[in-house]
Formats: sequence, structure tokens, C-alpha cells
Amino acid sequence: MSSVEKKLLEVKDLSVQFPGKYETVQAVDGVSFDIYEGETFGLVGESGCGKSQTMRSILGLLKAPGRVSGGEILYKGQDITKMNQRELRKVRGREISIIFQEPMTSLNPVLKIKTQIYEAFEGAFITEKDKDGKEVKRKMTKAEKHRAALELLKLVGIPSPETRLEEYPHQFSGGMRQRAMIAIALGARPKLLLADEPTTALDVTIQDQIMKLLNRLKDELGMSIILVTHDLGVIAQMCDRVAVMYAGQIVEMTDTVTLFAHPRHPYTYGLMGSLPNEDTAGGTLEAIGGAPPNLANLPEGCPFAPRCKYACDVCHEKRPDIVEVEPGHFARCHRLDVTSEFQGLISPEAAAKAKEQEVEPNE
Amino acid sequence: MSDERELLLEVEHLCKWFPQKRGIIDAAQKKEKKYLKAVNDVSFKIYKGENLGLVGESGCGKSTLARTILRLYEPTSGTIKLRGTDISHMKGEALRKIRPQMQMIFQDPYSSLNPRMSVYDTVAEMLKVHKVVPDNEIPAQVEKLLTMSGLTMDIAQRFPGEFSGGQRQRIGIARALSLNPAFIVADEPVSALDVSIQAQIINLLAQLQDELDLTVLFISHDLRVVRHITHRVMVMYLGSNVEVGPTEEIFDRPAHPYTQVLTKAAPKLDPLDRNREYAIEGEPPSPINTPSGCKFHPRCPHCTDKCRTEVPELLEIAPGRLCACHYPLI
Repeated sequence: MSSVEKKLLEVKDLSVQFPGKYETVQAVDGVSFDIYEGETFGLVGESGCGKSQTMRSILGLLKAPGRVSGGEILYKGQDITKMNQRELRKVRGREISIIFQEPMTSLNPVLKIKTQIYEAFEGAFITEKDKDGKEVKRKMTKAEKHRAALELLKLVGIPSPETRLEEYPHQFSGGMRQRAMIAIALGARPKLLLADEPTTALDVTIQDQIMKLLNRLKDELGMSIILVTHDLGVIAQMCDRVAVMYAGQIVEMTDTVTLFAHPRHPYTYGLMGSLPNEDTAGGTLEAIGGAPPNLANLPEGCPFAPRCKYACDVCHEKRPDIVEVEPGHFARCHRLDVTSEFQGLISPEAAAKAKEQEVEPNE
Repeated sequence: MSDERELLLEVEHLCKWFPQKRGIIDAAQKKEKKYLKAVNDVSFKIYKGENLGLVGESGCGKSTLARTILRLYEPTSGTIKLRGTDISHMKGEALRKIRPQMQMIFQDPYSSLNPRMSVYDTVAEMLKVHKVVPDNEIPAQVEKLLTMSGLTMDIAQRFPGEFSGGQRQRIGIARALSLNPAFIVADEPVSALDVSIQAQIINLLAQLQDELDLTVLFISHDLRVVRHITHRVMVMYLGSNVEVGPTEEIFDRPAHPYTQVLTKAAPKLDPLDRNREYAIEGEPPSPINTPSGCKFHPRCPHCTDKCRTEVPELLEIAPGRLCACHYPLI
């Protein structure tokens, strides 16, 4: 990341807790990252690793009894975690917008698509000059909303938008619903789009279309995207930088090319090993043994230690801190000496070459 | 696959059509009854010990085909032969006798286990029903099955609710294996699991298949998994199989344009290899009103007039490779 690029969002030491009757679950534990303008940032991890809760806290959408128990989320210098509902409403939709995994349950089944898109424009104002040349803000008229909605549907690639506007969500297929969701999220032209597993419920062909649509929209509208997913393939195709999460913490964070060439955390390495590819056919996959830990009852040392092949005594006793192993490459591990040998999914030479040329990955 | 291997299952021209509701006005106007042709004229063979992958988009009839083969649905027409016996219209006691030979592993490990039955009861149930082993040997048999699936006997008295997705899927596998079936349908067995757990279950399935010489129909939409675990692949589109052949060859050189699209659409695990073009535009049409001629023609980049009118047949275009396309790509 060059220093010219501006920080849009700063998450500092964020913690999210779910207090329960008998135990408190630490869903997110000291997560910090920055989002720059115009980049796609990926959060990858298994279910229950805290990636969705991190995302939800950015919009103040944590479900009770969950609450932000520490840290701050600065959006353009303002702390979102301290905002009241009134202030939050100004941010939601207009500045930061979100799309969810399940496009059926996140659209209202009894409202026409047009009603749901029009709603998104409530946050968007038109600035005009009045007779005296003073700038005044006013809400959009119905005709303007209609025109803007048509434009949005075209933008997200929904064919025959005129008729589609008059339809209900159940008349849309899964892919079309996700496109409609994206249209609604983009209604007020947000600066930052949060995408929570946007393609997980879709077929590969439709997933491919939605991924490329988001890539295109990001460039056209100059937004930033935070993408939550468990699929390293989606990360590879969409993200500029990635953070890998495990048990509520970021265990590794760097740019996508470096992550795929030189993973430094045993969990990242394990994830890559457990993916089948051309060369593994007929063989055995390098599975990570065991299962993710119970967040209410984490081991004393590194949460990954019980499943880690490289764990030694110190791993079981002390939690590792996150360290910068290379400029811009962070990892949270005691065994960084061992992990420097890790070979990723792409060759280091190809990665080095791509970096040297200082160009965007071959698009 | 050579023909020397024992033919286990032979499916010929299998159809499963679901009639659509016809309103009273449609009936008065004497409109034709409409059908959802979930499976339409599918023919294939599975040899003993092989793993046949079944891929396609959701709604293309993968699961209906599997359920019809297992005779959970009554086929509309066509035949299903298990070891030479026609089971397509079997009923009653005869069908019950055949059932133990065909088992299923389900997608969702959360809803496919009875929450009120302990692990022991879940696995032992079918042993008792079908009287495979004498009653006094059941505990030993259950232990053997659990060990085989990577579980231990000390969990036998616990209930499914206490386990994670991966462990539940292992219980489901132990249950499917309990009757020593000749043929197993695995319907998306890993798609509900986390990546690290997925690999464990894939390894287990591959290992069991080797050890027990199982024959598996492996349904999945994840092409990476299919490429890893299967020997041959069958690609379905809108109820029909459009391509069948050895896995490696199909992925390296797809013959049907639809197969090519599928292989292109799967996200590559390489951030240096990004493609901006859509693998394919649009979505599959409704299986109630299927297009004329080749069903893929409205989305096919190589479509001609012939494709719009003539239905392509599933023909052998190379040894062991079948493809239903007028202009195969190889």
C-alpha cells in the first residue's frame, strides 16, 4: 500500500463479547486493521471465528446480547462504537452498506423490489442551487427515484429492469436476488461495502458473475469492499489484502499475493493444504486435525496450538503476539522460524515478479 | 473404466417427471398437462469400486436422479438395474430386501440425524431392522463401524446435539456403512462443513472406499472436490446428462461447452490469474419450459441453427467419453 492512499476505516483493538448466563463468549478478541480507499479487504476463516461479528460491529448491527467490549472503529475519524442510533443512521447505507449471504431472507417478501430500492434512496440527497445560488439539499422525487432505480438494476446486470421493478422477491432467482440486494446496498452510493459471504449460497456460475460484478462496481464507483468469506478461491479472485481469522483473532494479515506465496501462520498453511487441487487427485489431503475450539473455553496458550503440527511448549503456555514479519505482513505465531519454510499455493518467483512490476495482478 | 470390471448399476433412459398443478381454467381450456422434467432420459453405468462424480448447477436434477435410483421416488419411465436385477418398479417386500444394498450420506449433518437417538441407536437401528448380525454381536459391530469412521465407542451413548458438523457427518457415514452396502450415494457430503473439516471427511471417504471397495455416486457442486475424489464424472444440465468421462480428461479437455463453462467458473486459487470475463451470462432456464433442441443452446457460445432444432444424442466421442453436443470441443 502506498502512503498516498487514504485510510477510510480504522478498526483498533476491537473486542466483541456475548455475555451468557454461565459463561462469556469472546467472539472477537483484539482485532485491528485499516481499510484504504478503493481496496477490497478479505476476512477469511471458519464458522465461528468472529469474521461476521467483526463486520456487524462496523455497522452497529450486533445482535443482543453481543456488545463491543473494547477498542474503537474509526470511520473518517469518528468512532462508530460510540455513536447513538441517530448518528448511526447517517452512516448506514449512505456511507457504509452491507449485503448478506442469504438473499432470500434479507429481502422483504411482501414488498415489491422497487419499494425496497426506493427505500435506499431515503438516505441520498440531491444538492441543487436555488434562485439565489445557494446550495440546498432536498430529497428525491418519485420520478427521480424510479429513474435511479432503473439505472441501478442495469448497473448490477438485471435484464428488463422495467418489469423487474414491479416484481416481488420470490419471482427472482437466487442470483437475481443477490443482484437486487447489491442494487439496494448501492442505492445511496456508499464509500464502503461490507459483503458477508455474498456468493456462498450461489452456484459456481452465478458466484463467478457476482464476484466479477462486485469487482467491476468497485472500480466504477470507487468504493472499498470488506469481503467476508471462507473460500480462499474467492479471496484469490477478489481481494487486494487479506486477514485470516481464527478463534476471534487475526492470525495473519498481508496482501493477497504474498499470502498465497508465503503463508506464515500454520493455520493459513493448513487451510491451503486442505484444499483439493489438480495435483492432489487420488491422494490424501493435508487435513488440519481436530475441530475449532470452543470460544467460551479457549486454551491458555495459542488457540490453534492443539491442532497445530508445529506447536511446542511455549505455544501451549503463552499466547503469541502479532508481529510484522515483513513490511506489511503480520503473523501471530511463536514458531515463525519454522513457518518461514512454508511454500504457498503459487510460486514465490511469480509473486516476486508481479510485485516488481508494481502493477495490479494480471486482470 | 474397462469393461472387465463388474457392472454394478445400469441406468437406462431414466425419467422422473413431476406433474404440475393444472388449474380448473386450464383444464376447461383443455391445456396440456405440464411436467417438471427433473430427470429426463438419463443413461449411465457404474462399475464396482468406482467413484462417479455428479456435477451441475442447483436444480439440474442431481438429487432427484440419486433419489430415483435409490427408489425413494418412483421413476416415470426407464430402467434401473442393480447387479442385473431390474429394481425400477419393485414394490413391497422385494424392495425392502434390496434397500440394504443402497445407502445414502446426506448433505446436512444437522438435520439428517435424529436428535433424540443416541449415536449407538442411530448406528445400530438398521442392524436390528435388517437382522444383519445376531443381536449379541450388535455392540461389537457398532464399535467396528464407529472406529472405521474415525470415532470411538465412548461417544456411543451421547446424542447428535453434542457434536460438531464434522463428527456428525462421521456418524452419518457409520450409519450408511452399517449394512455393508454395495452402492452409496453421497449427496453433497462435505458442502456444509468448514474447509479444514472438509478435508478430514474427504480423506475418510477416500480411505473407506479403498478399504471396503465401495461404489459411490458422489454428488457435489464443488469441482475441486470432485476432481480430487472421483474416477469418472457425469455432468448434468436441466435434467439430462450432457457429458460423461474419466475425471482427469474431462477437467483437462472438456468436450461439452457447458462443462467448459463450469470449469472456468470455479474460482482459481491464484491471485495472479484473474479473469474479468464472465464464464457464462444468464442463468439456467426453468425445467418446466425447457428450450427446444439442445437445452443449452440459449447460453452456448457455439450455438447454430442445428442446435436450436435438433436434440443432440449422448454419443461416444472418444474411448470412454460420452458427450451430448452437435459440435463437441475435442
